[in-house]
Amino acid sequence: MKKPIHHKDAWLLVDCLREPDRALRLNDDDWNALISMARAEVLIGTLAHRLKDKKLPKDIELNVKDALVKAEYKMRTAMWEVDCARRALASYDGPVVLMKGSAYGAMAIEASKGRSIGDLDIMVSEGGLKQVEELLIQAGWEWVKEDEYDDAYYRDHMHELPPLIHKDRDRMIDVHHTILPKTARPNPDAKAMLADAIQLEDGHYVFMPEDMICHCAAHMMADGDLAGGLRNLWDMHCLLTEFSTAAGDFWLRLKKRAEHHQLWDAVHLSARHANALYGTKIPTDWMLWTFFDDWIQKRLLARNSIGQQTRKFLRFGFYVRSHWLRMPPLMLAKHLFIKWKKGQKK
Amino acid sequence: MIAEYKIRDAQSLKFQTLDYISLLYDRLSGITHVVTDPAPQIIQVLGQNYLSSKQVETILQRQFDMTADENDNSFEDIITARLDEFVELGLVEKKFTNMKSNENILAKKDISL
Amino acid sequence: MHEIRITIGHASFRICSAWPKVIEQLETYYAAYPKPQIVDFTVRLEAISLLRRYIRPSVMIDGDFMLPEAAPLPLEQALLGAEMGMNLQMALGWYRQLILHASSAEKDGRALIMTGESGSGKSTLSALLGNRGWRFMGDEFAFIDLDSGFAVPYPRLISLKNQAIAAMEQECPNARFGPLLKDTPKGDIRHMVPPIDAIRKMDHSAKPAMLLFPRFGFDAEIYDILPSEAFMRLTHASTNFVALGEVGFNTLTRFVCEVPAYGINYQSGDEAEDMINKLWDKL
Repeated sequence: MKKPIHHKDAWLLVDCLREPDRALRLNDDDWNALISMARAEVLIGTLAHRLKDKKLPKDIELNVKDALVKAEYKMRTAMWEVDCARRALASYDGPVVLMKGSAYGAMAIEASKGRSIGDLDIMVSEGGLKQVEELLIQAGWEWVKEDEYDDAYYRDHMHELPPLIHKDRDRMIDVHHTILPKTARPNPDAKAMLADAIQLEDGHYVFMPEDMICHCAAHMMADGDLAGGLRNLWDMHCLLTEFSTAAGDFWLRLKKRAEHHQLWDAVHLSARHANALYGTKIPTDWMLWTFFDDWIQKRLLARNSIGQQTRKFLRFGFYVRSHWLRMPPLMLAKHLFIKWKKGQKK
Repeated sequence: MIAEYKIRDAQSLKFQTLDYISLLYDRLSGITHVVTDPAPQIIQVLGQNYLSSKQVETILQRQFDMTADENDNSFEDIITARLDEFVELGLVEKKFTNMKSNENILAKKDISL
Repeated sequence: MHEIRITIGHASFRICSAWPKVIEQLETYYAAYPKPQIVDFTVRLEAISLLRRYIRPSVMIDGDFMLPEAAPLPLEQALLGAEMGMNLQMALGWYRQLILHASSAEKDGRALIMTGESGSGKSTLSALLGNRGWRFMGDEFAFIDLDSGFAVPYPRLISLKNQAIAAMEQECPNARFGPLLKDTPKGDIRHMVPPIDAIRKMDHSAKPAMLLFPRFGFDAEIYDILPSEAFMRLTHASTNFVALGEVGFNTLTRFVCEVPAYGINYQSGDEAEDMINKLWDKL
């Protein structure tokens, strides 16, 4: 009954996403490990999409089908929320930009295949926030109950309204006016992102390809503690692969745009890690690798055969770093203090 | 100016009647709506052409022999209320036009009945 | 890490734990169940921290699918932890059949499905019928096949709660019972290994013949349930009806149109059995 944990990191998952044919040579224990890792990283839908036309063991085929049904459900629900937001905001003049999964789904690009989509994230101009908020509330969205500090914190320092939930559908919408908190150190040019957004057939907008990649990188490197990093990196891999086929010097345009948004470090880092794990084709001079990259890669792959996270201390280091990036130190101290005081009261 | 309505996408809807209620499954949203008379009949007479609630009433009376209950609301008001609910649910689309074009559609619809 | 792999009905699990005695316990009670190689789900019964593995040990329920707010259980309740972990995997990851939160039993090749809120007695009734000439199919989930409409069994360990514990100890004195778990989040719990024929026939599906909404503690009564009411109540009793989309809609509407539904109020297991047999004979 004692089984050694035979995979101590998530290379198995990464390898099978990159080259699905590798999965055809797995033994039973590997299959169990692969499925657990993919579920833990919320990449099971993506993996299922990559494996669905292969000759699979019967038991695996059934799990792949389950994952596809669930992904289809998530996509249907997410696209319906996009539709509901479009109808609710029909009288709003400015562009409404879909972000992340909802944008990929609306465009039906490779990154959306099998992808899990949660809340609806949209971006509007800072001046349009009030009207958008009013229109959403008219259409049945309500504030999630929050106390005054949290509410003021969102409005003063974050890049979004406090989240709204629809009263009948129980689905959340996050309305942003920029892609990172105002307090974060990179300060992307939200106005340019809105101005250059591309309109889809249904009326919604999405970021232009370079901005979409910048946002994905910002989300991955600055807005999180690298939890879910393999999933974000898969998005990055798909976006880079699909958009780099465009005419002209895509990589030069991307670099310039990323520099303009102060996100070159994030884009560069995501691109070379996508290359290292998923084999994304990137320019040779983007492949520069430092010793810190080894640690990032170890953090990204911290998942074992039974789906557990490994490398606790490394993870904590990245968590502190992510809070550090979001807020200047004094404000971080104030934020943690108020959170602590609230904890005491309870 | 009067309000006119049409089905958003008839292909996306699936009906199942169970004793005193009807279920309306919407493939677009994946949501099952539970409806009672005259809502299923309203959906059935609405097509891809815009109709006013007055026109829907006329067709319902002719096709299903339906009229208002003994309460105060006129049948047309009930129909309008149901239609506006469907608009909110994203099943029906609504627009405002002048009277003339309506009469034409009603005439066409009459012939087809 | 220690692990056990088991098959229950169409589903299979790998349960991992840092405590060998947790796995030994599962091996004892799941001894008669098939042991697969490839599994559908992984459940982990983990320590909160390395320290808590030894001092006041508490079990965190974790796995392929999990809820962030799940509270830990004392180590003595690990059997309940495994049960909850497996339930969660089914509820969040199983889309091969329509899941009904219901118990079921089979007689003459036809299945009786019982659903209701907790305290309705649906689990106890399925265990009772399993000892009185019926084949026990499951006390927690009944799965409806999306093509055939058949009920698929899920005969996991029967999870007896509160008064049902003494009742079943009396009913089946020779059955194998787990340890009595006092004051769990769900009250007192004692697990019971299902009859051996229920385990041997765990992949034998049966055509649903009756849907029952039992209510324990009310004066004896049998009443009809309309398809519309059955539909509304079963949508609440299904964890994957919405996710299955149109297929789920078709499966559930077909089920409520084809399967007659009744409500029964009862005061004792004997009374319920009488009413069920009466209804069953009239089918």
